[in-house]
Amino acid sequence: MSAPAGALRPAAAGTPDLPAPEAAATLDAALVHAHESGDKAVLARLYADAAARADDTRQKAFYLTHAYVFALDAGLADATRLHARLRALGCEE
Amino acid sequence: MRPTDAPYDLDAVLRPVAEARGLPNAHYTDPDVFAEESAALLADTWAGCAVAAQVPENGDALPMTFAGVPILVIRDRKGVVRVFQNVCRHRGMILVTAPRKIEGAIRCPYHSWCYGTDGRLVATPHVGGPGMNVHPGVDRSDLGLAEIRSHIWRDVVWINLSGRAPPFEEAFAPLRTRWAEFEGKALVHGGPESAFTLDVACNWKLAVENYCESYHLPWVHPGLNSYSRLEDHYNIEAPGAYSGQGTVVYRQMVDGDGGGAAFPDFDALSEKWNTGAEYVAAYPNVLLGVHRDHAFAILLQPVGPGHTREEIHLYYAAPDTATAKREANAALWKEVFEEDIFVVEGMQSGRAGPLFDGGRFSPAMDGPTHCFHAWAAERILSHRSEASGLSAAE
Repeated sequence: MSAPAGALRPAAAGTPDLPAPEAAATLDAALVHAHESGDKAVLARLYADAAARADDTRQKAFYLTHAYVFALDAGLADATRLHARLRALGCEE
Repeated sequence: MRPTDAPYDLDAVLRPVAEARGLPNAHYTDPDVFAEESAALLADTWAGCAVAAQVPENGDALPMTFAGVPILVIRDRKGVVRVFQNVCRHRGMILVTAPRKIEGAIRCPYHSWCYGTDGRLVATPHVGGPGMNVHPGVDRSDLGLAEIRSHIWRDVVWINLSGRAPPFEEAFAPLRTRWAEFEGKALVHGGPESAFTLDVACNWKLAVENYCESYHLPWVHPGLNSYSRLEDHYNIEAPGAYSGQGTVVYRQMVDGDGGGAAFPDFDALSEKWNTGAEYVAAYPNVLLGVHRDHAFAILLQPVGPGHTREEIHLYYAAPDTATAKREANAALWKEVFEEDIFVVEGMQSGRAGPLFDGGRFSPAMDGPTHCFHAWAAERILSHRSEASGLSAAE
């Protein structure tokens, strides 16, 4: 299972000194590592980063959804903010 | 049935104790009867599945299988102990597989549908397609976790899986009345040193039967009997609800050779409890003991026809009792309960004898056991009658 094709692009912040493909690969690797370790707080942050890099609304909603679910799972205060962003996109109730 | 097998006769169980026979062998050995009893005796009544002390903090979750049903005992964000079917409303996935604290939401490990600790469905990721978490056909308000009727009394989490039992307050009114002096009093779990489990190779009903009669005490517990003689005990029988035994010579554990400090008493008990104690099997599967200074609950978890897990929890009237003293008390009770293992396992082995006809009771001493058998037989016959009525109507 993977994210939508071509979903990741370098963000303006976070990895500014890396060219686009390297930045995306770094984020992918970090996500894989976080999934392996089961660190939900890191997963929520990384998926929020991925949303920030997404090219279009659908991709953004996809990553925000993952960020929201892991924030919800971990009981992070960020869950409320992520939920509001998804609602604003028309993707949450 | 072989020609020499004892006849199968549940009606014989319902006769007066002097004429009755006990439950037939199949009720201890047959997997089909075990499943039938799980429905008739465990799911259709108020059964004990856990104690609230096992989920002490908000978010603590305890998954288990009870009467074949996967359930989740959880203390929600507001501190309320609830019981849910431990199954996602989406694809029927088991939600929680080991005891743990739910930090935020109960997230299904399959497609990440998320539930609050109060059972509400709060997230349905991608349910309307990638990134779209809503769909007109999925009404979250209709898809919360299936909640099982539950009630906390004496710290035991009582559940009614079928939802068909009378209200708990009604079903347990007789025992609550009997022990009214203990109602509303602090009941403090003694902590890790006051909980232990015994794995026993017997049907759960044999543990009930052995617990509720005093007949065996001088033979199986000679240590107890050195000061607590058979004639100091009395039978307790409340048909359809509970049965057990009481003693009039309970002696408190004290430090040193008498005269030392005892556990503090429960508040404002009458004189009866100065030397009185009672041990009652609350049907179906919870064995309770009350004394002036401590209490216990034994939850019988039926694992299989010939396999029971006994989970024992001891309680005190105050939170600040000495750890070593609690340890000593738990060790004392553990020794007593372990002394019972060879008899319940021996009776289980005896149920392999095809000529055993359920046995005859001592009319004087076995009333509490017969009371339990009659309760079980009545419920099983009623269950069968209902089942055959349903199949005839189909």
